[in-house]
Amino acid sequence: MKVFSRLSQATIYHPEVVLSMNARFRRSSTLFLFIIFVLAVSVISLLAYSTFHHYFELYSGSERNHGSEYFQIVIFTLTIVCSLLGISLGSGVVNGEKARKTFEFLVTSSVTPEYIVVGKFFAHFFHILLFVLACAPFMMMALYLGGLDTSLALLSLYTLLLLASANLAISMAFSAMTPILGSSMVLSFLTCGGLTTMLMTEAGNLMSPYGRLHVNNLAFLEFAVMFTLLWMVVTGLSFVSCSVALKNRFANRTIGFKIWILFTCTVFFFIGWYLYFIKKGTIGTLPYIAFVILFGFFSYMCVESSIFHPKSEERWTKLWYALRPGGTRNFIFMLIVGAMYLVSFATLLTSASSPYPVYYRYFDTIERLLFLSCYLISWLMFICSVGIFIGSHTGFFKKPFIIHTVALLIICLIYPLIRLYITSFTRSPLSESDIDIYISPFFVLEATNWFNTNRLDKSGLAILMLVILSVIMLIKSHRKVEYLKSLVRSTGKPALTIK
Amino acid sequence: MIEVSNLIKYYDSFCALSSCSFGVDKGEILAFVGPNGAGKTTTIKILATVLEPSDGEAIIDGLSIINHSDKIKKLIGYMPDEYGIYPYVTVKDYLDYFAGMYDVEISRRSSVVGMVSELTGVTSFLDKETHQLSKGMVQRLALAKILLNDPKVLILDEPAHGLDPRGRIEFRLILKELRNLGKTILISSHILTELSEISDSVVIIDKGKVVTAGKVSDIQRKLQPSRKYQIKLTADTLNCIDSIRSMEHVEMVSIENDVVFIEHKQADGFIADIVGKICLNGGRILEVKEVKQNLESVFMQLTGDINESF
Repeated sequence: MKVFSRLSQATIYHPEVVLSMNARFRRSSTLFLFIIFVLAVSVISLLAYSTFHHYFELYSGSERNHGSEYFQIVIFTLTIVCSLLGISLGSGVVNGEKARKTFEFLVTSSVTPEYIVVGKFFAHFFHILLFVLACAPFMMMALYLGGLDTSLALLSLYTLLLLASANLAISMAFSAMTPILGSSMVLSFLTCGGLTTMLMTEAGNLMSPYGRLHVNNLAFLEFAVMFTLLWMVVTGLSFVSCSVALKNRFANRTIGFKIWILFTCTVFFFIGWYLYFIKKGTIGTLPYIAFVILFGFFSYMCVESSIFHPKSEERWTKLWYALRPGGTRNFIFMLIVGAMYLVSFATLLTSASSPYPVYYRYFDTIERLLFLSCYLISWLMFICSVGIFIGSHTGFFKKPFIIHTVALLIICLIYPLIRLYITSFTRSPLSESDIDIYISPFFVLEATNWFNTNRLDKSGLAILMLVILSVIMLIKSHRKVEYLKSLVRSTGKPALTIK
Repeated sequence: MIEVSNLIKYYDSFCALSSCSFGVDKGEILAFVGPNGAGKTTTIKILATVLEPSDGEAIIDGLSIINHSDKIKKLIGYMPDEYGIYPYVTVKDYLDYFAGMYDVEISRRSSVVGMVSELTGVTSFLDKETHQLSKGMVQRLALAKILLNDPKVLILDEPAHGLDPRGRIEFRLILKELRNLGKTILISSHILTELSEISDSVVIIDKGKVVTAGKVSDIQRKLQPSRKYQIKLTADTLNCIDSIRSMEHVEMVSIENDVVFIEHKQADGFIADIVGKICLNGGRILEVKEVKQNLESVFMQLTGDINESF
């Protein structure tokens, strides 16, 4: 008990934690962000609750368990947001110090690299914890609705914190391995996406549609122990990687350090991806989280490079540059994904299974992957434009993770709306249980349908609206960015700096 | 206090430092001078344990930077040439944070922060947020930060860079005060006039090699073996200097704008003989001054062409 008390005291009074908390609570924007977050969660949970109404009714019948159902939705939303926060906050921990030029001050202080890493981890973890605590009223509401399985609720919270902290640790490790924030974010998104998928699917397997555990206590314990062990492996590896990077002064990379990076990356990817695919043998319902999170990164890249691109001042590159606000690398990425989209679209049209209605299960593996690419492009376009829009119309330049959070909250809001639209207003042949799998290539399916029948139905109209909205936002954002650039040029010193 | 011997540093195949050796005595201010890309920052980073040398050794207070980097961190205060400050925190919180990172006990932190704030003149803006600070304030804050662990050695890389004249003077005064407190200071700067005023000794480095090292006066003497004086006479008595030309040991006598320049290779007292002779010949002296080579001209002479200098 004494040891535990000492440890908690050391954690709470760790200089990193104290500095981080002081910095956050001093700003009114933190309070503002929490209010927006709570409002968004309330809207998302209510919308999602009404959207999944049929699903719950179908499986539960007269045994409806409102409290547990509501709790599941809240915890699901929180899991997405906290996973994203973990990645966003962790991705810039070490290379962010380099970018801010605070790294040398930090590594020449007297404390050990391990002490710094642990402090940085807890400083960010407490921030995530605050977001979870901010959702306490919703959890209370689930209790009030009644029927909430306490073991399940505790397990969900445990998994959520486990997942968020693992994502944070992994991102921190990648931030120590890669010198650029963008690289560490992409690597973290990919790895954490896989891990998130695996953990959530495993957790879902323990749960019945009635919102109760349908396994025995031993299985429950096995689940908790397995994830705790997994967490220990992942977080431990991440901490060691971070410390090794700090010991190697980050820039001074030895061969041993490179081998260590390779080893850690392999372990992460093995845990994150292969385990899931080997075990399940399919893509499953939840990988969309990984992909959605991945594109948050591009929104950040777009905003950043639009304003601070070194060639943005040159006359002839200006027009060309205006066409590719994400910079050359993003532009190439867009081209590749665009090409994938075209190929997949062509495959759809030429496939034997393409005539309406199209069923996902009739497609082979290649076609599924192509569908996935369609999914990528549709969300990419939308999230990029949302990111740019938010970034260019607000003062959030300094905090990329806020852009991600807001962009993702919007996506979370859009998702149940689209789902509601599909289930209620379209003549889609997709069953309720399959809707999550179909949701991503749904746009393409409906577009194919429209193409074949030469008729613009409601779904086609929805796609068109989405595309128009994206284009409008892109144009408006670009104008705003141009205005901000002119402001920077006229004042000489940029007031807007992405840290 | 600092002993650098045969320090070598390679960045891939590029040799940034080749056999760099010099020493700094306790309580001394050493000016570390060199043109851009000479290897100053590399040397400083090695001494600050930020970089590891490819070969060679450096000892700080008896401890090797290779084997005892952890202990050395507690001995030194390092200010890099380019550094950032965490934004959106108050100066006090910032110093508190680094006091924690220097392992200062919680109970002592506030008094330590108070002391270094007083010393560096940070007290007046302790409650200000760091992103609101001016360049001069940031510089003072950085200096306060590196003093938190009461270091024996201060390693400052271009500390006055970007400061206005007032800021530089204030910074210089702080350094002098720190020297009085017994700190050993290694300082690199491009502003040589500033360094020559405060430094006890100098190391001039170029292309990764130490060109010269030692006391400023010794180097000046080494580069300029003859003594040069300027003597101002009244215009009507200028002709009396002809008698000086014939004096033994006088190497050169010239007149520029009514000022006489005399060079000799004798000891300091020889100028008294010269002055006596001028007076005997009816010369009326208004001013006698020794013309010393400043650090800037030493630097130019040494880094212009190494082979030419030696």
